[in-house]
Amino acid sequence: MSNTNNSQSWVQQLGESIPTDMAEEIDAFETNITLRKAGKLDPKIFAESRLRRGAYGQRYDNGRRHDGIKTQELVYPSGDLVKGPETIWDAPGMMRIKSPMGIASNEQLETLADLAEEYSDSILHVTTRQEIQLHFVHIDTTPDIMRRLAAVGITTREACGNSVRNVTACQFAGGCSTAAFDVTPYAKATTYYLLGHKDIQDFGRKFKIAFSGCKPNPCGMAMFHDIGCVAVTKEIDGEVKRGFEFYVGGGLGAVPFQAQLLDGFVPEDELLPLCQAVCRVFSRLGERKNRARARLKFVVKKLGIEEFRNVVAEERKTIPQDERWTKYLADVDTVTEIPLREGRQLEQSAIDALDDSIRDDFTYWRKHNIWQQPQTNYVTATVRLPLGDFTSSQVRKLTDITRKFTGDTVRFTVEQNLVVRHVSEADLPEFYQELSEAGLASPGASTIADIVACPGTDTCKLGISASRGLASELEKKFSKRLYQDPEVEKLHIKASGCFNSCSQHHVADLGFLGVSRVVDGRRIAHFQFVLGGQWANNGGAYGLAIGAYPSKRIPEVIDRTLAFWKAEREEGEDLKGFVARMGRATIKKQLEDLRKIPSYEEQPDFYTDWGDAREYTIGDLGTGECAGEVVSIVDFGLQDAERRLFEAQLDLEGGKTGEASVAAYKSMLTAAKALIMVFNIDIQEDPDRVVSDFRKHFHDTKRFHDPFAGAKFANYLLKRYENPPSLNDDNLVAREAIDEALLFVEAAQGCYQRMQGDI
Amino acid sequence: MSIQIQQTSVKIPLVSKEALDLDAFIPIFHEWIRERRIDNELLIDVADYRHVPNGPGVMLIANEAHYAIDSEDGETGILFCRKRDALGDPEAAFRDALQRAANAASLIEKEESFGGTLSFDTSRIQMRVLSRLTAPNTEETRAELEPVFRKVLESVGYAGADLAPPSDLRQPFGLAVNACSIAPDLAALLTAL
Repeated sequence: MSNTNNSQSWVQQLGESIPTDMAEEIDAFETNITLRKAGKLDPKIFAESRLRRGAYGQRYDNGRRHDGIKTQELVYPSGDLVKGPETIWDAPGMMRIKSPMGIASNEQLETLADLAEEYSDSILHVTTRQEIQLHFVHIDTTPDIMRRLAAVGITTREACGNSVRNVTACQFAGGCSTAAFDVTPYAKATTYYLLGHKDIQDFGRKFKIAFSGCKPNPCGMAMFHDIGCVAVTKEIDGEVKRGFEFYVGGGLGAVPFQAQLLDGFVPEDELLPLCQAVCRVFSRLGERKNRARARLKFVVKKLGIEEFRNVVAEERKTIPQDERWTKYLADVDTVTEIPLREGRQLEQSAIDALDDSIRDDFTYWRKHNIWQQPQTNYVTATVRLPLGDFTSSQVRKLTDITRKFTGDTVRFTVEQNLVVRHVSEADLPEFYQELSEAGLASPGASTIADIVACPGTDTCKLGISASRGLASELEKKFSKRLYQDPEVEKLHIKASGCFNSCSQHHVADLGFLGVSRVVDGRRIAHFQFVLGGQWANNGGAYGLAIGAYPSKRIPEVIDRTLAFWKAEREEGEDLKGFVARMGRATIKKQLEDLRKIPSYEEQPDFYTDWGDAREYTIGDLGTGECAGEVVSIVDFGLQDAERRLFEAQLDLEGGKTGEASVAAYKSMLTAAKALIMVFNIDIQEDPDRVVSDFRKHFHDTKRFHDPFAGAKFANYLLKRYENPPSLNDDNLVAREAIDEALLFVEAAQGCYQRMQGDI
Repeated sequence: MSIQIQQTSVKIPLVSKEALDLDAFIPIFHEWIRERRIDNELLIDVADYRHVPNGPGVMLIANEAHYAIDSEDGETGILFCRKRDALGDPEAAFRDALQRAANAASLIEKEESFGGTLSFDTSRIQMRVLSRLTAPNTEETRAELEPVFRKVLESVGYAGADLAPPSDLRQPFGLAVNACSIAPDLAALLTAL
């Protein structure tokens, strides 16, 4: 179904405001949609291609939903058409939208608001990787969403799938007194250097990179990433040089690993090539068959950090020099965010002048939501977004506020909030009041009330328990400021709907992950209670589960734990230290009675989960797409060749015979290039090189030869190379070119299948 | 008529009630799904946004549309939003959206758990077209769509109603009926539709 009227489309509307390369990528994706609908593209390949463009599956997209009594079929109009294995075409999905380092301009925010309003449910959801997700989006609308994003400089490319995900960084970078330097330009350079890079197209699993400006503060969370970079400086020959402590192999998930130090000081000019080298090693040595062990952390574990270091060093030597490695360094000190207003001190008299009804709230908000910048009289304000959600309408109010007080950007945070930087202190009362009118002045940022939760059973196919439902309940409870104890206030709660740790529960003081238990024949939602994690020091320690408790008892579990800690703690002892001293068994004993389940007859409500009226079941679990589909770079190349061939056919239908002829030839070159990648990953687009390598590896070796037709199909390419097509080719020539290309691309598919048998 | 539309929305506010129990809508919407209470709509799930200030509250997600107990702009009401369907005649699209919003309002009014305490204020209706491509928020769009909206409204009893556009041009194009003294009640509106 088209999303355009008879005379206009977003392609026409946006015109040249979309960069050419992005426009071509999106057009190619739209062609894939057409091919999939026509049954000409394998669902598995389409699934990975949509994931790599940020279009993700969502709960109930397998066409089944338990209504609390029985499982009902959801009969979507698209019938048998699927957008991936067990993923029905018409079922609503999720769109993940990258925002490198969490940065978004006013124009970008307003575009996101428009998209949420038109294609989603008017909610923008901030993720723990500083991105935005829109839910309940139809796959047919995704190309237009991508175009409208591209027109304001946003890509969804590689937002999901087996690729380098959104690069994250401290939200305070550039306005932080504990940072060695502003990591923003380095994170940005890494983002755009690796985006779409050929060396990251053949991963067996996703890959995450984070930057932190310092070690003790937790904003960047470098220690649980595949690559974690912590800014440091070093005096070399009397000169202070910038560089990074470079960590590798960290990760959460079901099996959390702390990152290990690969290099204590990577000079800034070595950052990009070293990232590239690690990616190449991961691409080469990462697991393919067992997805549960396919992350970089398992490669590092298998080799050991010493050997991994050697392998990376060897790989580094093989990478050809690239001017982008250092080109950006000339601009790293260019200040891109200029404060709008002069920084002025906040006078007590201005606070006293506030209305009595809001003075206390303002003071409390200021206490937790304000971060003092090193720039005199400027602060960064955290806009706490309950569960990471805000509306399109709130976005427009927010951009009014930023335009008035600060300028053009906000940054999303890994705690699912956003920050407004460079607020003049003197403006804070007025700034607060305007936020308050927009419903954006929730206090208690980064406190026990600021709960992080993954989507859980709300929308995730893998969700076991209602992490958002629980978080919402806890948020309500702790927002009442029950605990005046500053040590309690600064605790972090994070809730994941399953073991995959999307809320980062391992590094919470009080972490929860969804599980279920069967009691007397009935299934009950539970959460494993994880204690001992550390949010500080970039996620410096991982907690351990002490047991599973019924979902409905979690608020009591927290109250009991905190009461025990407050009663028994030694002076200055934090919760992590207390857990270590007392031992988990002791704490568990305190909570033992909370594991009990009332009978169904006594308390039927216990058999539902938070925020869900249905009797609890795990019957809605689906197949996760986090791991994506393992589709090789050759598969993608061959699929790209088919797309180009399809475009040639469309050109021919449209009477553009010359274009059709050229496109048909390009499809053959693309298929040949895909095959050559088996031997030479660095193969370029140049036809001379492609044909030369094809001749060497496939024609002369007879590898491409058809079992029955021999060299016939290979010769189609060689003949066209000797006599290239032209835009003046007529219908007859174009038709022949397309027919030949069709056979060549099919032969390439057959050749690759035979080779896989060989391999 | 050159404008064709698909993404229409209609909101009918609740008669002001100090503390609306949004929690109650969660079991209600689950029941609507289980019992397939709404004809010609594939109901899928309930989305809980009670934690968002002035947000969509509790939503009933369907394949082509969603319903929300929405509090955007500080006023709570039933919001129907059609997200997908073939582009079509604006009059039919708007009439359909109005009918679906009114039908949902009627179902809510009849919910036993509210004991007849909830009612909707049909003297105020907000209509929008959630497509900046087909209906940008411009005077041209208004010139084209206002007569269409007015025709539908007059056919169901809102003759001569004042229609006001949104004050913020960044919002989707829409028109709101405000305090129409001759508005039909909900039952009459549904009958007329």
